[in-house]
Amino acid sequence: MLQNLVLIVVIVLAVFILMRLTAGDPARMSTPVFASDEILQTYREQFGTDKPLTAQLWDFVSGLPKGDFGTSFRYQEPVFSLIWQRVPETLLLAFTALVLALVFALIVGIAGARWPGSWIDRFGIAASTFGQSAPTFWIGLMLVLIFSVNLGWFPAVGFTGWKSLVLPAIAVALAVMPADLRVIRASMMDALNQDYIRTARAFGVSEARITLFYALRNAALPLVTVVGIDLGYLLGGTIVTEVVFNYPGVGQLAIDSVNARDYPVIQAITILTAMVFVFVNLVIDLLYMALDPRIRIEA
Amino acid sequence: MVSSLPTDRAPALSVRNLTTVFQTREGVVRAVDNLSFDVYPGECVGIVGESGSGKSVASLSIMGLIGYPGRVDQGQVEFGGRDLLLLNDKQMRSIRGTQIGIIFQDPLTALNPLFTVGRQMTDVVRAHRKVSKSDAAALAVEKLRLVGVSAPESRLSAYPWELSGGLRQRVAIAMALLLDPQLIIADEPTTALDVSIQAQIIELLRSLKDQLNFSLIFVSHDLGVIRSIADRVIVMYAGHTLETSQVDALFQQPNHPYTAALLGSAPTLASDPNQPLPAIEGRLPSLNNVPKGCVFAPRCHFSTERCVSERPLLQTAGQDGRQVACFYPLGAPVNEGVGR
Repeated sequence: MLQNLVLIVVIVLAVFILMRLTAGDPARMSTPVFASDEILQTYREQFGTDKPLTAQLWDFVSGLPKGDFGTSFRYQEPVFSLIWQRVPETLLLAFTALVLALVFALIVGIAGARWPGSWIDRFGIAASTFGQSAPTFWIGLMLVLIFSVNLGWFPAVGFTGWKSLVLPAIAVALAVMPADLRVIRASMMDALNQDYIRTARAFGVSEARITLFYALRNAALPLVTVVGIDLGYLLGGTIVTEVVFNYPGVGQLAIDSVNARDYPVIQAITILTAMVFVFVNLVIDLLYMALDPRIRIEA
Repeated sequence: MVSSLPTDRAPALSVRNLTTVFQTREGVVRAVDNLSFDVYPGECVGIVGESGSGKSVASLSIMGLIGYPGRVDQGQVEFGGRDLLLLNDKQMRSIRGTQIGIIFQDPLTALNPLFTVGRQMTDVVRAHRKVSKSDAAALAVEKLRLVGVSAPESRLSAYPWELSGGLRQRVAIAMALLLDPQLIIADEPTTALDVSIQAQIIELLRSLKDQLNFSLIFVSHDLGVIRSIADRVIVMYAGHTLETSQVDALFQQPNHPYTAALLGSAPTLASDPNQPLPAIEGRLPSLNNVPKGCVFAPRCHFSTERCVSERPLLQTAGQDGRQVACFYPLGAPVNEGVGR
């Protein structure tokens, strides 16, 4: 627990300092290029960026325990509600992508471990190599080109219902699927080679039950780990896809805020993402205990 | 060729010319080469040999558990009026656990660490019989009690790694006995255990065999263990059968130089602690490069040119179905039997 707290503090400081080190004045970003020094000064006073760094840090940190992340420079709205409005879209995208990736990785990974070298195994390896090598933005653009521009099946940008979800979800799923598939295949192969699998076979337990119950249960620990890493990636890493598809999620907000040097929003998104990451890791540790009785005993 | 044990009963298991090969990078390797033996009801046949002699592969071949890159190349395994090697997966599965039970070497790795003892045992019952979970659990308790597990009901909820080594192996034996098989294959069941526990487990297996009258194939590298439980013994080396004999006769007078060397290298209470133990010089031949003649010839003190160039076949030697694969078997009465 303590190490998680230290982690959050380090992230708070790092994001604060990094933002101030970035070139660009928030006041200039919010005003026309010909704005006079007086106008700029008014903006700086309003944003609080005229104060010394220590005072700015205190303003920022003192609000955190109350859940007050400050006011957005650009939107003049409380940061938290600004982010909160975008969360459902991002969650929807992240979980749709996760489900797509997991379903594919589980089916192909288990089949690949069961029948190594079979056509489905080779297909899985090819697909995961492709997903791992091709950059997400390129996959996004190709999907738009093929399915929106040429075929016209799905909208290219924005959010207008479930159809808007399909292409971004596939793009994100292709980014997380390779790791899932590799971990599932490797851990299933390892489990299937264990002595207790031979025992189950020697006692006439059916192959389907051996694979989907005995082996998969033992392969579940690495799987849970990789899903945790996926969640971390998905909650921060849908950024590129959201930008490519102009999808109205948290990632899009983060990029806009970086461009506008909207410090409070960037700081809040970074900290919240870090907290979610820490929380997900905690849940995974608890899941370990539920899945493996040996860990339960040690704890 | 065929073992001719004087008996009026039909064998429970009859293995003929069993050959199991493995596909390796260097080529096809014969892990078990032309193995033949019978197991009669209520009898214990010991298979002895060092690591890599093919004894475990032989027992797995009988169960149809040889997976890629290995396969049974030829032979018959007659059991219950059928050739097990000709059965399809489903037929074979219905025999495993019900008519043939198996006990593996290390019960810690042979039992699934994430499932309780009760779960694993009831799963076996329910893989073969349509019974309720509680009936299956009752059967598991009965068998655990049979193998001398104290408080069997409470053990059902234990995980394998929560039990001691001896208790774990008792659980594995109870699992093998669950559905009252006629044949039990014990693949080095005492090797992973302490010596004192070894003796308990062997005694348990012997009394269970007498009580339940199942046939037992007992695989071990330890001649002393084999002597204490087996009725008959098969000596394997590099996939080949070198000698097969009634156990007492074998220990009285080994016919094959390998068996003699093996017996000679075991310490006894009479051996001088200041003298180094005699060991068999050289190493087990690589299965990629098995000698053309007798497989033991390179390490044999008695080998001749004939041993190197020509492979001795397993021949009847003496009485009680004794057979030896050697041109110059040890022991006087045997020489008359061979040399025909």
